[in-house]
Order: sequence, then structure tokens, then C-alpha cells
Amino acid sequence: MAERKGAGDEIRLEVPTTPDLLRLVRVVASGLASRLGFPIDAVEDVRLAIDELCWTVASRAELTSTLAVRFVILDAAFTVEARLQPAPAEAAVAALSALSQRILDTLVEDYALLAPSDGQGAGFRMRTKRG
Amino acid sequence: MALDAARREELRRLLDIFVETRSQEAAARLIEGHLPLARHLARRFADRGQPLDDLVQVASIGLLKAVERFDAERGVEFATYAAHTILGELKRHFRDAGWAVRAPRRLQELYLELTRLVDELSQSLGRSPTVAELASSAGVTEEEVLEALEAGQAYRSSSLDAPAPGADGDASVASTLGQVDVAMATAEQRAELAGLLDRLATRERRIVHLRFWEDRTQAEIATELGISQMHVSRLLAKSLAALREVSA
Repeated sequence: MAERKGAGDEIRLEVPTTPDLLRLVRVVASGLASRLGFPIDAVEDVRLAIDELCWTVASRAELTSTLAVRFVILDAAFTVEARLQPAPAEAAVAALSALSQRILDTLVEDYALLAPSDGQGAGFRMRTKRG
Repeated sequence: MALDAARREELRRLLDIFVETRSQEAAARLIEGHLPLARHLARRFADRGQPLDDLVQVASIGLLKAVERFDAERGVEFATYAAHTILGELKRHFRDAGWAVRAPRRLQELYLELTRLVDELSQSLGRSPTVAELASSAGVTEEEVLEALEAGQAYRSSSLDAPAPGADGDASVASTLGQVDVAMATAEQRAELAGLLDRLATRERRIVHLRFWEDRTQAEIATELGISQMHVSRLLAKSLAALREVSA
């Protein structure tokens, strides 16, 4: 099978918002970082950032929620966008603590929490930093 | 878990005092008296890959909750109620610590080898190695390296109850905390943050400070503390998980 690392390729994942399954988001993210040749410390940064953001968003999730995650590969980085599905009945918007902001400022190039919109729940997006 | 008759009687008496007075002293003695039960129940879970000390700590929290919530009106023996509450706490611990899946031995061994290789390669390459380079040096696939990383960093919630600040003799660290505050917007945020970081053991707090406030790399922190880069990485992950837990 021909290998392709094309920029623009997407990976989609939908996982229940339980800790043991949310770790799959971290696994995919570290796999992508590895594939893009990130040094090991940058791979670790990606893992920590994903943990922080998933936890922030999932802490507002209902028991039956899932997190729909879309990874988009760029040239030497990738973006992650995640949304709770379905949108919780009360459109609670997660907020990042001062500590989370400090952590994410260090670990990733760009990040934001996403407010619920068009029937989609709250979520986050982030863009990695290769280190 | 058989207690002699005199001891049982003493615990019953303590319980009566506690139910009547809600005295903190009686509560403390009740907890102390039932610690063997907590330890006994914790040992039942000892084959699940978590240190017994951590489990005893979780069981003790269950015991504390049992003392706080016990209602004598229900006509249930305290020991029965406590055992139920402690088991509930232990089960909840394993359910919530879903990230802390027990790693197979081969991954634990690979993780240890990677710990050594990361430092060696960092030194020879003058930069942090990639996963591909690590895999090649260890003679395994990249997926196995990633699996080992995942296994090696299985999170545990125990770091919040680690030694108190200064307990490891590193007195200078406490003074660096003041600098943590500088970039925070409000006094309230500063106080909240300092309170959170205070929950970490001295070394962990120092690592968090160096990484997120001084923007030092994991390799630089490892050199400064005289530990491996992977160890820094693991302590960082553990500390952040613990901070999330306490701020929840």
C-alpha cells in the first residue's frame, strides 16, 4: 500500500466521554505527531494538551455524550477540533481555568474553546507546535 | 478481620459518643480503629497494578466518608456500613482511574529502555529524538514506542498527597512560587493558582513551574533536577492530572 502523508488528510474519531475511552484521542494525536516527525518532547506536549482540553470539555458532558474529533494534517503540524455530541440540553460553555490557559499557552501554537452552535455541543480546537 | 471482644466494645462505645456528640476526637479514634478494615479491603484490589499504599489511601478516604455519613437510625452495624462505603470508594477509584490501565510487562520494560534511550540520543543528537529514531534504536516499531509511552504514563491520582512542601529538603523551591503569580490577571486568580500548586509535592511543583512559567524544556528540567527526561514527562503528566482532579 502506498504511503501518503498528504497535508489536508483528515482523521475522524467519535468516542464516549469516559476517561478510558477519551485516551484514544490522545493515542491518535500522539500517533500523528510521531508520524509527522515531532521530537519526543513535542509528542509529550501534544498528549498533555489533549488531556487538558478533553478534560475541560468532557467535564461538562452528559453521561451519554460522545466527543466527535477531527484531526487535519497540515505540512508539519496538525489541528484537532472536537465537539460534544449531542449538544447538552443546557448549552453550558466550558471555561478554561487560569492554570489550563497557562499550560496550553506553553504547549500548543493555538487553541480555543468552541461554544455550542448549530446543534453541536461545546468543544475545542487546537493546533500543534512542533517544538 | 476478627476483632477481640474488648476492642469491638470500645469501638461501639466510640461510635455512640460520636453519634451523640459528633466529636472530632471520637471521629479520629473511630477512623484509627477501623484502619485495619480499610487496609484489609484495599489488599483485595492489590493485584490490579496499583501500589498498595495508594489503595490504602483510597480506602481510608472511604472510611472517612463512612464516619461522616453514618446514620445510626438505619440500624446497620458501623463496620458493615464502613466496609460498603470503602469498597464503593475503591471501585470508584478504579473506574475513575480508567487511564491507569495496567501495562503488560513487555511495555513496562520497553518504557524503561526508552527512558534510557531518550537521554542517550538527546545527548548524541543534540536535540530530542523522534519516535522513529527511538524505535530504530530500541529495535521496535513506532507503534510499540507509542504504546510504551502510553503505558508508562498511566496516571495515578496519588500525587496530591505526596510529601508536603519542603519535605524533600528543597527549601529554595517554595520561594520561587512567588514568581508564579506575575502573569496572572487578578489577585483572585493568583490565590487560586497558588492554592492549587501548593497541593503538589515540592519537586512536582518545581517541575510545573519550570515548564509552564519559565518555559524550560523537559530536557533542561531533567538536567537541572538530575533525572531523566521521561521522568520529567511522567511527573508533569501526573501533576496536571492531579491538579485537574482537585480543581474539578
